[in-house]
Amino acid sequence: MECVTAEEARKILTGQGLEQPLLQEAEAFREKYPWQGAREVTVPRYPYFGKEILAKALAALLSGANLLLVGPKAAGKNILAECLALLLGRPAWNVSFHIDVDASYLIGMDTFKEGEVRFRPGPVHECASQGGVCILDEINMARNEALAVLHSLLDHRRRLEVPGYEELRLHPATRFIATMNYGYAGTRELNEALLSRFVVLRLPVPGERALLQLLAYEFPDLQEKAARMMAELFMDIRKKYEEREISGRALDLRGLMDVLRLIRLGLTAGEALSMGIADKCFDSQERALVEDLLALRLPGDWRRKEFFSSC
Amino acid sequence: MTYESLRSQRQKRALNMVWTAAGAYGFRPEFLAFHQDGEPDIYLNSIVGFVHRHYDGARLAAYFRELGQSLLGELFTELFWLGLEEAAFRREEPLRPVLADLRRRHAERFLADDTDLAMQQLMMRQELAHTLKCVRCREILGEKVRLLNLWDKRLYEALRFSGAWGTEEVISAMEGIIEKFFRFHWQSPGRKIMHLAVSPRLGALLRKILPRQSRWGKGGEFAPWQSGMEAREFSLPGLQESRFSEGERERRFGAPLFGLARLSEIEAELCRGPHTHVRLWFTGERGAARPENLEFYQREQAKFRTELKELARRLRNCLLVHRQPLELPARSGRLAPGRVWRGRYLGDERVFSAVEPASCGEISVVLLLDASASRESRQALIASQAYLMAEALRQAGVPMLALSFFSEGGCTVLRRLKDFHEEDAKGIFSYHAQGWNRDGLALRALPEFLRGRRGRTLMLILTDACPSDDHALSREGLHLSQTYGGEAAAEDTAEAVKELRKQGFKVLALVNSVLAADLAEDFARRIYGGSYLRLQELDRLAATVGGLLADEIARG
Repeated sequence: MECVTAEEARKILTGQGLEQPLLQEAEAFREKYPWQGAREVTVPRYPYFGKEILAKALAALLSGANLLLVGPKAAGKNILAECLALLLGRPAWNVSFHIDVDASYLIGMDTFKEGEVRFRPGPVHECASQGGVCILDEINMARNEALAVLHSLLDHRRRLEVPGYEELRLHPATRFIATMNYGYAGTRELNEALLSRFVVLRLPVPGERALLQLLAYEFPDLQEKAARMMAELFMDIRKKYEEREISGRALDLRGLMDVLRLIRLGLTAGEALSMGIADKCFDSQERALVEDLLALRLPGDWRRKEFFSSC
Repeated sequence: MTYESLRSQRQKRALNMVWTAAGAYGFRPEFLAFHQDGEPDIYLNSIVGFVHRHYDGARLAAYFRELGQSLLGELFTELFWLGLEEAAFRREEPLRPVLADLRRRHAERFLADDTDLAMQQLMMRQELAHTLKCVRCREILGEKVRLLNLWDKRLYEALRFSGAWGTEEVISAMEGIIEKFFRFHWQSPGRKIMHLAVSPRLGALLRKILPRQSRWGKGGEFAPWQSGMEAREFSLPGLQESRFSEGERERRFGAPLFGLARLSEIEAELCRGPHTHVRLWFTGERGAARPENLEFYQREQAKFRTELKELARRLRNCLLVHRQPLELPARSGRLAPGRVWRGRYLGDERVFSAVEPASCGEISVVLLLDASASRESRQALIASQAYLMAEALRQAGVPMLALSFFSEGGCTVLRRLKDFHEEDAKGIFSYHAQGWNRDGLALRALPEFLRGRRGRTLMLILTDACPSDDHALSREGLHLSQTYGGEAAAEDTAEAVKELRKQGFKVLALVNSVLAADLAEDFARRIYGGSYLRLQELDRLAATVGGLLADEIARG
C-alpha cells in the first residue's frame, strides 16, 4: 500500500466488510494502547484481501491469543500478519526462523564491552518489552528445542526469566503471530507444547476473486480481460503445484506482480513471464511444463497496450 | 539423456498439456499427440484436454468405443475428432486469445510434417480423414477450401461442429454424418470378436485343446507354458538335505562372498535347530540388471525423479536438524567463565561460547528384500523403489546395504545388491523374484554382512510376513518334521527378530502381502511385535521408508 497513510490503509482493509463490533474492538485496542515508541508502525506493501480470514485473525488477536497462520506458499501469511499489526496500531518485529535459531538469537545474548559483560536484547525481547506484534516467520524451520524458550512468554505466565538479568514481563499489547508452511522444504512438525499456545488459522492460496482484487488494487489501469487471464494463469500454476507435477517455485505471487511491472516497462509478455515465473524453475523438465502452461494462456508477443488501459 | 528418459519426459509433458487444459489431473487420455520430431503437440493435447473439460467424458468414451467397433471405426474416430477439435476450439477461443495462434502454428507444423513421409506412415493413415485434416489446416492458415469432390466438400462442412453444442449434440451430429455420408448400418457388420457362453467344464476342455491368443500380449503372442521353464519340483515335507554342493551353489547362485571355511563356520552356527538340513549361501554376484526392472524404471522415470528429489531433501533436512552441538569461543553467547581472564588481561572479547552444529552420529541402513516367487508380480516396482531409496540415502550421505534373499533347493541365498560404500546403486535392478523365503534363517544370517561396522543400524525388511519353504522345519527328538510355513515358521522368524534386536539392531518390517489384511497383520504382529508397517501399495515404499528413517534419525 504505497503512498497511503496508516489510516487510509486501515480503511482499505476494513472496507472489505468486517463486522462493526470487531472494528470497534480494534479501535478500542488502539486507543487503550497508543503507540509512542521510536519504531514506526509500518504500512504493508499490499493489503490482505479476504474478509473471513481477516476477521478471524483479528478476533483471535483481540481476544489475546497468539495466532499461528498455516498455509502454502503464496497464501499471503506475512501480508496478513503485517496488516493485523496495522489494524492493532502496533509496529511489527519480524523474526525469521531458520535451522540454527536458538534462545540467544531470539531473546538476547551477552556481549563483552569495555571490560564488562552486557546484555544485548534480541528481537523477541525488544518486541515483548515494548508491546509490538512479533511475527515469528516460518516458525517450523527452527528446532523445537530452540523454541522452548518462548513457552512461558506465549502462555498465561506472559513472562520470561532471562538468566542473570531481570525478568522480562510482557507488555499487555504484545501479540505473537507465527507463520508456517507445512510440508515446505526444510520444515518440520511443531511440537504439541508449542502448538497448544497458539490458535491456528489455515490460509488458502488466494482464489481467483482475491487475486483479481489484489491485481485491481496494485494495477488500477490493468484491463479486466488481462487481469482475468493473469488470475487464471495463477490458478493453473496452483493446480499443477497441488497435483505435485511441479514444485512451488513457479507458484509465486510476487513473481506474478513482477511480470506485470516488467510488461508495463516495455517487455513482451513472453519475456516477462520467463523472468518472473518460468525461469525460477531450474529443472529443465519442470520449466518446460510451466512454459507449456503459460503458452496456453497468454500470447507471448502481447505488450503493455494489451494489458494496461493507460498505455 | 537416454532415449527412454527423453521419451518418458516428453510423454509426461504431453500429459501435463492435456491435464492443464482439462483442469483434471486424474484424467487418462486415450492418446497423446506428438509432432514428427517427437516433441509434444501443445495444441492437439490441449484440445484433448478441452474436450474432457467441456463434454461428458464417460459418454464420449462409450461412444468412441462404439465407433471403434465398426468396420470403418478408425475413420469415424478420426472424423469425430476433427469435429470435436472445431467445437472445442470455438468454445475456448474467447477465453484464450493465444489459442488461435497455437492453432495456426499447429497447422503449419502439421503441413510441414506431411512431407517426406515413410511408406509405412503413408500406408497407415486414413486417406480421407487425412485429406480433410490438411484442408482444415490450410483453411486455418487463411487458404480457401479446395475440395473438388462435392461429397468431400459436404462432409467437410458437416464436420464444423459448433462450440455451443453439448455432448449429446456432438454425438448426434456425428451420427447424422454417418447416416448421411456412409449409408449402411455400421454397427452390425465388421465384428471381429465373438463371445461364446459355455459351461465351466466345457470351457476348461476348450481352453486345453484350442490355441489361445492374447490380444494385448507382446506381438499378439501368449505363452501359457514357456519352453525351457523348469517345472516346480513336487516334494512332501520331511527330511530332505539340500542337494547342492558348494560348486553347484556357486554355479547356480553366484560366486561366494566368504571363503569356504568361513561359510562352514556360519552354517555350523546358524543351520541347526529348525534349519538343520538346509544350507546358506552368501553372494555378491548380482548378474545383469533385469530388463523388466530397467524398463519399468525408465518408463516411470519422470515420476520417480520427483519422488527421489523429495525423499533426498527430506533425509538431508532431517540429518541437518539433528546435528550435534559443538561449543566454540565467541564474542557473544553464553559466558564461558574459564575464558573471562582472557578478556580482562589479553583484551580477547571471545569470552563466550557459541554453539555450532556438527554432523550427527553414524547411522546406516540395511534393506533386506524378500525375493521369493510371491514377489514376482511386483518385482519391477520393488526394484525401482529400492533403487530410489538407495539413491536418496546416497545423496543424503547415509550408507546403505541392499540385500535380497530367497530359498531354492534347500539353500537360503543372500545376495548383495548394493554394498555400503558403493556409489552406484544400479545393482539393485538385478533384483529377481524366485523360489521360497525362509525368513528365520535369512534374518539370522544378516549380521554376517555387518561385521566390524559401528554406529546405529536400521534394518528394514520388505516382506509378506509369510515365511515358507519347501524344505521342512526340522524338529529334534521324536517330533515329526513339518513344513516351514504357517505358525511354526512365524515363530522361528520371530525368534530371529528377537536375536537381532538383542544384538542392538533396530528391526522394522514393511509388510506387503496378498493375504487378507487381518491374516497378514496377525503374522506381522507375531513376528515383529509393533515394529511393522503395512504397505497396501508398494509405490509409496520409498516415501514410507524416508519417513521411518527421518523418525529414527530424530530419535537420535
